[in-house]
Amino acid sequence: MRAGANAAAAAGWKSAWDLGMTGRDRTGSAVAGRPTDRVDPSVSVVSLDSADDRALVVAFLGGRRDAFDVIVERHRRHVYQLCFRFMGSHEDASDLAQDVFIRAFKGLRNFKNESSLGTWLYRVAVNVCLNRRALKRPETEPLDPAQHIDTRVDSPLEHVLREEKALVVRDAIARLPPKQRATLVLRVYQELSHEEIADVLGSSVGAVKANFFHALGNLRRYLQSS
Amino acid sequence: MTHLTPDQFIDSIEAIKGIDATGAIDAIDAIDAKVELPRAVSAHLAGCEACQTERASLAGALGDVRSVTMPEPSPLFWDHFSRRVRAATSDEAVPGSRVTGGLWRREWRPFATVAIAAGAVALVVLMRGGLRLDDTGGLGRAVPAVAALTPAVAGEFAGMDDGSLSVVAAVAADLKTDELQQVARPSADATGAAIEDLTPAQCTELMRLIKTQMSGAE
Repeated sequence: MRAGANAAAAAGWKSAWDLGMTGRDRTGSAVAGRPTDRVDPSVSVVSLDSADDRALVVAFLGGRRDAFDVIVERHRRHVYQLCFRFMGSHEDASDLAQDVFIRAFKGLRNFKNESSLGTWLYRVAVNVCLNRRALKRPETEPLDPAQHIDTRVDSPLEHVLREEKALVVRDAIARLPPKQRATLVLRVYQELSHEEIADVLGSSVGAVKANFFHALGNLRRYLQSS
Repeated sequence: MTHLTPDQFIDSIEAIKGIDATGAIDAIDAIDAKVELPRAVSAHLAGCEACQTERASLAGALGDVRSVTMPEPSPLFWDHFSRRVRAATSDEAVPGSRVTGGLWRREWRPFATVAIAAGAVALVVLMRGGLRLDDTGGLGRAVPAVAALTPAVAGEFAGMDDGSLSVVAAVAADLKTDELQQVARPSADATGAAIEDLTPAQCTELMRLIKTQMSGAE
C-alpha cells in the first residue's frame, strides 16, 4: 500500500516535473512561444500556482518573492532526491537541497531560457553535491529505522536483507568517479534522457553514454568484490 | 562486425523493459518494442556470446541500481523544508524589487557612495557650527569643484555638477581628515565595493589624491 501510494505520488510529481521540463501548462496545452517575453510579473497569487516555470521566473525577477516559493514547492522533491542519491543521507540531502535553492534565489537572474528550469536546478544541484563530496569522504547511509522502516510491506527480515543490499549498492555508487555517479543517478533515478543529462553536465550525448557504460562496469566490479 | 561499443551496449540495455537484479533478458516480451536497435547490432548480439554475456552482466548491475528504493521523508518534511528556504533567503533582496532595482543597482553604487560621503561631510560641518556666511549673509562663492579635478576625471563629471558638488568641495576644504575618519568611516566591504566600481581614470585620480595627502602628512 505504501509502495502504491508512493508510486502514485511519484507519478503525480513526475507529471508536475514534466510541466517544468516541457513548458506545458497544467491543462496539458503546449505553452506557445517564449512566455518570458509577455508574462506580466504582477500575475496574481492565484495564477502563480498555475503558472509555468518560465512565468514564475519572470514574476520572481520582477520582484515577486512568492513566485520563488512556488518554484521551491514545485522542484524541492526532485532536488532533494538527487541530493540524497548523491550524498546517501537525509541530513546531507536536506542541507544541500536547501543550499541549491539559496543559490537559485541568488542566481536566478543568470538563468537563460536555453534549458528548462528543472534542468538548470539539476545543474546547480550536481555542482553543489560534487563540491560537497570533494570535501567529504564517501559514507554509507546511516540507517534510521524509526524514520525509514515500513513494516507494512516487508517482514522485518526481508526489510533488513533489502536494506543491507541497498547499503552495498549505495556504497558502490558512492565510490564511482563524480561524472559517472552523476550520470548514473540522473539516468536511473531521475529518469532524464541522455540529451538532458548532457545539458546538465555540459557534455555530449556520446560522453554521457560512455560514462553510463563505465559506471555500470565499475558498479559490477564493486558489487562483485563486496 | 566487431564487438559492441559502449554506446551500443547502453542502447541495447535500455531496450530491455523491466530489468531485474538477475539481469534476465531472455524473455521475448522483455524487449521494449519502442526502442529499435540497429539491425547490425541485433544481428551481432544474436551471434556473439561474449557480447551477450557482457550485456547481461551490465543489465544485472543496472537492475541492482534500480532495485534500491529511496526512503521517503516524512510528509511534514516538505513544508518544513520550504520554511527553511524562505528563512534562509529572507535577508536576500528579491531581484527587481525597489531596493535592488533602484538606488543600489551596481551602476549607481559609486554615486550613492559619493552621496553618502557628501552627507557625512555636511553633517560634520553642521556639527562644527554651521556654514560660514559671507558678508552678504549668503554662502561664500564656491569654487567649481569640477575645476579642481584633473582633466581626465573632470571630463567625466562635467555637466553633472548642479552646484551641490561645488558646495561640498567648498565646505570640505576646512575639514581635517581625522575628523572625517571618525564620522564617516566606511566598512571594509563598502570600501572594496566602491573601489571596484571606479573607472581607471577615477582610480588614477584617487591614487593621486592619496599620494598628495600622504606627502602632505610627512
